[in-house]
Amino acid sequence: MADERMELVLRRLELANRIRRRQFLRLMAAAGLGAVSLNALVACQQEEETPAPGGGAATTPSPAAAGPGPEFTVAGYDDPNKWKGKTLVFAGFGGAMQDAQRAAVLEPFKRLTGAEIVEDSTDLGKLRAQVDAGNVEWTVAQQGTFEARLLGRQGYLEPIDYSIVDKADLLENVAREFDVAVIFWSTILAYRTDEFGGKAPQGWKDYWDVEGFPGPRAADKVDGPIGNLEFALMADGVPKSEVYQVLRTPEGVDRAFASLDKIKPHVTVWWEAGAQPAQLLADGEVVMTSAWNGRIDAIQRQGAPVAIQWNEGLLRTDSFLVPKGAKEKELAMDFINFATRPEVQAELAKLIPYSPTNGKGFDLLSDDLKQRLPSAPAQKDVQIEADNEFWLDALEELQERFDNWLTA
Amino acid sequence: MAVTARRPAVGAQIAVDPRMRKLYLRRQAALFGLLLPALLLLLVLFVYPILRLLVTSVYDQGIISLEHYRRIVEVDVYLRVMRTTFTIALQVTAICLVLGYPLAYFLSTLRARTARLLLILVLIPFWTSILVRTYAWMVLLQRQGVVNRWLLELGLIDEPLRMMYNRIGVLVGMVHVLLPFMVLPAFAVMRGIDRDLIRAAQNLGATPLQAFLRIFFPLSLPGVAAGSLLVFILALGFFITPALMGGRTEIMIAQLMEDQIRTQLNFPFAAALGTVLLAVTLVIFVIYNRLLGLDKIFGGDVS
Repeated sequence: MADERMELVLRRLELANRIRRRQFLRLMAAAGLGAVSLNALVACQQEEETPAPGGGAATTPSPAAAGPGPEFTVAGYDDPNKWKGKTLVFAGFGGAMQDAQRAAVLEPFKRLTGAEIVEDSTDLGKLRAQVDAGNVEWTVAQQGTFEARLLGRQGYLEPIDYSIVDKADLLENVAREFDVAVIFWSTILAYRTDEFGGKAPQGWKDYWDVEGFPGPRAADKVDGPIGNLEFALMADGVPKSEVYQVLRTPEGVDRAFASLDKIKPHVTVWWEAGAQPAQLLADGEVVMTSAWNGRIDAIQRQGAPVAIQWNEGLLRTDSFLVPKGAKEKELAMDFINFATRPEVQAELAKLIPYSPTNGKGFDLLSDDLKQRLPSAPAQKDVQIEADNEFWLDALEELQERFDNWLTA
Repeated sequence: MAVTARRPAVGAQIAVDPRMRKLYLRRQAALFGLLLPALLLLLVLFVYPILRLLVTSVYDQGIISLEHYRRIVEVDVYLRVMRTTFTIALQVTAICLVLGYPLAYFLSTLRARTARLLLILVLIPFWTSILVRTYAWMVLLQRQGVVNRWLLELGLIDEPLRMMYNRIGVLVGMVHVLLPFMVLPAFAVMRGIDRDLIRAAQNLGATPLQAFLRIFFPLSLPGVAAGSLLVFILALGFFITPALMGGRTEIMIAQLMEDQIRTQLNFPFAAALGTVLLAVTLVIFVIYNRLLGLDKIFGGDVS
């Protein structure tokens, strides 16, 4: 049973991370299974650990992501003793994400302010338990923005102090009462480039078109209705700008499920972990799938014949938040401010293809890299932004309906 | 039976002699003292959390209500997934039984040293992480996996077989993980069966098959019953294997609970789902006890 529980914890991390391959592979190696041909996964792992300077097609993995970050400076952070003697406890998603954050955010913050940094793994249950018990260990934690907003709504978070966090250059929908979005990521349509005779699917209509684009498909189960309903509506001809307007009506929801009915027989895999769609595509198990952009980016650079269709992707964010009752609130706010500075966000994007929430961050990035980032203008303009406002109210009911639909 | 028959006799004896009685009580107290740490541990780590679970499940936004239970009963998906969960657990138990019984029997006929060596082989996968084993099965069973490639190359099939992302995948993965839980108790009991009994039966004219069916099999039942129960109950809570190897109809109840906690932060509803699972499991446990007798399983009354 203990084993089972550990797996559960591992898997929850895996789910939350979207980019956590390392631990799993370490386990594989430990089990002596490294020799099994898990090409895609292994390659995927190497790639995710490989920073992509300028976005060139890196062929040899380098360990730089885990190494010390470059010695860049950040405007406004010039007192190396500012937080001397104070400790910041940061709870992130672990894996490749936290490795990149260590190099681009945590270590530079330590270097530029003198704060001590302790790392932990974020977990909704742990956060709730800390707040409920009145013994909050974390200073700043990361969560999906949806979860962050849910926590904020339930009274588990400190309000963000915008006299410390400078939101002047932050993009729209990034700075909120209880959380600040720090990265953008996307659920996009990914496909094999060698399957359709040179044709490329242009959006969800083509994913639904099993005659024009034949072959088995995979779809996202772990996010439940989030994404699937939006995609179903766009496949059914709803323009991007009207998706949530339609989804807010009961007829719109019915329409989305009716559209899902049409694709249901052709979806052979409903994926549960972020690594799955990348592996399924790389192995040729499916020809098209919805997926998280970072995962596809990784196998793409490794040379797998796969591509991302940004059009009609669902743009989403992860947030930093401060648990209610956290010690060192001022330090927390200063750290969030630091993490949203353009210099810091650009460094992070160089290490992992999740992109800045500070508009100025893009000025510091190469054009090559920008093409791979979900919130760079060219990609942002063709996607829709997840409407957390809508999902906060609708998720409970729609998740139930989705589960019902899925298992029927 | 023998034990319960002896007890009043001892009691009567004690009642007569006050000195004996004192000694007896002191010894009982000492024994209880030894038990105390374990009891406390159970109380704090098991009984209390379960009570909390029950309490959590009947709260709805601060007021006591059975709203969550109403939802479980009224919305199709929860009972359907519950049914899937029990069906899969039953199927896994049955397959483990069919595979595990001959294996345990074979092991029990070997010399102790050889049996021990082979047991290690049974146990090795048991020490490997479930996640690793699940991914290994994925490599073997997927559409373009090792097994399908071989079968295609050998010309045995024209189309890849679908062995993953459906019931087959889940059953294969779960049986692999749970088989040791069937083999070990069955083996332990079979090992303790006196082979002279079988020889005696054959001496008295039984065929080997008759001797097996009427002597060995009934004597091995406690081990099989214990193994089945373990496998069944562990299977009910499975999570990773169905998530990674199942299709859309292999969603098990643990996955729904996880979702309630992870994305919806709805702890009370997850608690209600957990309570229903626990209640149904207990009912099955009671029926099982009536049919097979748990005292046998846990070795309380072997005589």
